[in-house]
Amino acid sequence: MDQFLHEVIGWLGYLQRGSVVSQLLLVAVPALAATLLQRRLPALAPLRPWLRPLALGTIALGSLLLALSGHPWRFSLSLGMIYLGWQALGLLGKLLELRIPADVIHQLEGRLLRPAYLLVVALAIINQLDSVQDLATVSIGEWFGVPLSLGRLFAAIVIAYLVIIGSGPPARAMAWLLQRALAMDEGSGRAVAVILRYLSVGIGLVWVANHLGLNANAILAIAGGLSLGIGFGIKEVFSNFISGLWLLLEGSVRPGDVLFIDGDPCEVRSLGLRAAVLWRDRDNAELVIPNQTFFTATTTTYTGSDRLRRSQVLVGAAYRHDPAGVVALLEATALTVPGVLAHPAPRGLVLNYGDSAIQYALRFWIANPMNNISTCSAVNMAVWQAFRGQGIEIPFPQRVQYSMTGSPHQDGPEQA
Amino acid sequence: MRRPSLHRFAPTGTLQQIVLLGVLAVAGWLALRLAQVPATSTSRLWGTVYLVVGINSDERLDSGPREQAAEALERFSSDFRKLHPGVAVQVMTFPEEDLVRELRLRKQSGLGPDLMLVNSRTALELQRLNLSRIEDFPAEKLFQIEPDMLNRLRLSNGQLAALPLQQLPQVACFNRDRLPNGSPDSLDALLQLSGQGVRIGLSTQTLNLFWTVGGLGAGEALLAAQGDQPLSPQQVQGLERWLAWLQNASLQQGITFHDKQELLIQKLASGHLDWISCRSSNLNVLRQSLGASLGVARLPGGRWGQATPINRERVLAFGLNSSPNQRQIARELASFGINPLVQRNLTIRNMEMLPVNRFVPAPVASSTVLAAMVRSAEDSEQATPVIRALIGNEKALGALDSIVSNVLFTELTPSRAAQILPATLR
Repeated sequence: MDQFLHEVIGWLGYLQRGSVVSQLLLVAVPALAATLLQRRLPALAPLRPWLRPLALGTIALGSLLLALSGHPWRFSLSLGMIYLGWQALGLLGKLLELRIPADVIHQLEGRLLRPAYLLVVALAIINQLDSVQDLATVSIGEWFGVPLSLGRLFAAIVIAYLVIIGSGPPARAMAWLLQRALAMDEGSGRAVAVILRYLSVGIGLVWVANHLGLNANAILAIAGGLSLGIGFGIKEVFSNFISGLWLLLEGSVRPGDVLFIDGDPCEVRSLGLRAAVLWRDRDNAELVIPNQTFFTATTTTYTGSDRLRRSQVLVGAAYRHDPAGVVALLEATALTVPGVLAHPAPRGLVLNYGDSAIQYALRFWIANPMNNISTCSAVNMAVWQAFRGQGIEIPFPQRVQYSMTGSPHQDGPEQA
Repeated sequence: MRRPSLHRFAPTGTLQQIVLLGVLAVAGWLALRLAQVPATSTSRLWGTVYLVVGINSDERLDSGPREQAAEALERFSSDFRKLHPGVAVQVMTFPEEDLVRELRLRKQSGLGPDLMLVNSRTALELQRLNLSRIEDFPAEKLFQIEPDMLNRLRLSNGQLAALPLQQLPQVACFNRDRLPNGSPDSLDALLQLSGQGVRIGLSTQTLNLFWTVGGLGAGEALLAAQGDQPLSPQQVQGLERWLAWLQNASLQQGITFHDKQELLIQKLASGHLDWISCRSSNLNVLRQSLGASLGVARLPGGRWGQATPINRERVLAFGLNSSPNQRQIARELASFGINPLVQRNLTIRNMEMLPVNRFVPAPVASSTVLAAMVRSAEDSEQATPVIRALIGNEKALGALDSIVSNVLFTELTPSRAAQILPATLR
């Protein structure tokens, strides 16, 4: 590690050279000026879009002048190109947003594109100051008796990161193919995608351990250490992870499923390493629920064997109306409402004889469990319209209030 | 429907922090460097110099190039730093064949090295391409260096392209367990040994095979051909004899030819070969594998003369982008390298190079390895005129390579090859 630090500190020795300092200033001054002017001087708002291009133009022109005057120029031009590339990445993101959902673009940009760009740029700069191949051979000590070089460690980190971040899209593509080939439902397809991703991450991490040259003993030692850690500190994390895997394999909770959480239907958006993310339609909230919860508590799902949900609305009709006619009207009305399935057919029921009305229930099936509230609302409105059309009264209890003029003990007939 | 929280990079927001970090890093570096300089130091030199080491293909073996370069550098820079503790030397290594491209890019960036430890041939090439600068040294300093070596580095205007630091002779490396009687002393004996089951490895590259020229009397013919002079019948015979020996060797079951010298080293180290021609800079690697079984000897000659090995001379060339301070440090460092004490230490420490300072005798009495290296270095003087002519002529060298390859693969008979070779070299 000392050797590496010595190398890094040694790069500053280039600052002894006027040609290097002048190139650095040529890049730093316009870039900083553009940034500061953009932030601090609101009066320059109309010029704002032109500040960065102006800075880039200054760098390019300065480099050209240096080259024409026979001075070193490539370093400033390289830094300018890096600055340009960084700005271009932002533009690329905006262009992609026209075609791809914004959240996907931001994930791609933040997790893959910009880190990858920074990495390439860092390597390119280091390769100008030093030799990347040389640096890769710098020893940074031993790990479980295995000599570890900077290059190996760096490659291991990059590959592990890429495997963890970049395995999602290929896993989803593979799952989509399997879903098509094996005629799986969408939930199973998502589950396969997650399992494939975990599998590739697992294989990738084993490869990284192998690349680092860790022998079986070292891996056992790590596993032993982890066991202790699991026992004391990260039991919950590990428990959630295993629960998540188990749930996926079992198929009881999968992305796309609709679960009943605290009286509200919620759609499972993702099943992560630690927790599941569910979306609640009622208030557009996202619930992050530890996987272990589903593993140990009762879970009500509308999407276990199919995605149908049986819904119900209650309505009362006056005693004078024939119940058979009311039931037939209810069933016919339900069929007119969009979202109500014809099969299984809606069914009207006489529930009981209430104080002021005969209570009916209209039960019907809907294809999307998340639409329960809106479909019930639509059915209720259709029933009201239908009853009105047929002159069926929906009675409701009426209360008459009057003021008492004397003592209840004097007036009350019950006292007699 | 779902509105994820959008997080975007904010590069400009951190720009000031980056600049601040940069300033802090520079301040830290200055503080660190000042802390390294003892208060008692009287040296006026202070700063960092960048040293690029060209690594030859046959040196890119088991140990990493940086380690090798660091070892090579440590031999004299550590002593230099004792005198000038304010000086730091940053080492970078590049394959010798990539140096020109790499240095051209670095020169345009202003990030070129201050010093370059390269082969003398590369140093001349760098000067020709305006990728190095001339540094003058006092006559009394240059007087200490072998005059021939200096002459080989002189430009047409008499100035030096670089300053020699070490010479790496070509020698015979063999496995003592397989050759208990030592290395053969003649080319004929070498062929005989191959018939007795000794596995011999030779290079197909003419420069690495050139040592066979002297023992077969083909050196004068090559020199004459190169100089566009008519060849005498004896000279043609010499050429034919040399090419016939090569073809004969290629037909021996016990002799294998490889186009890469590093393969020969690896095969001797792994026990797949018993005798090869090698470079003294390979001895450390071979010692690690063969230990006491490694034998080192002078390359075998023949009835027509001694072997004509080609010495590799490692020289220090000077970079173009240095600040005045760095130029001074580079100059002092290079000058320090030919100091007799430093040269002696360089020679003794690893037993893989010879000094360039003619007033520093190698201790041949106490080391058979050094003795073999010294004799090889003496033998190489015979090859100097031919090699000088050839090395400056890439086209001729390529043509010679091609003819030798055709002879080795029996595509050309030795007599036919001897006839066309002079015309090709011209």
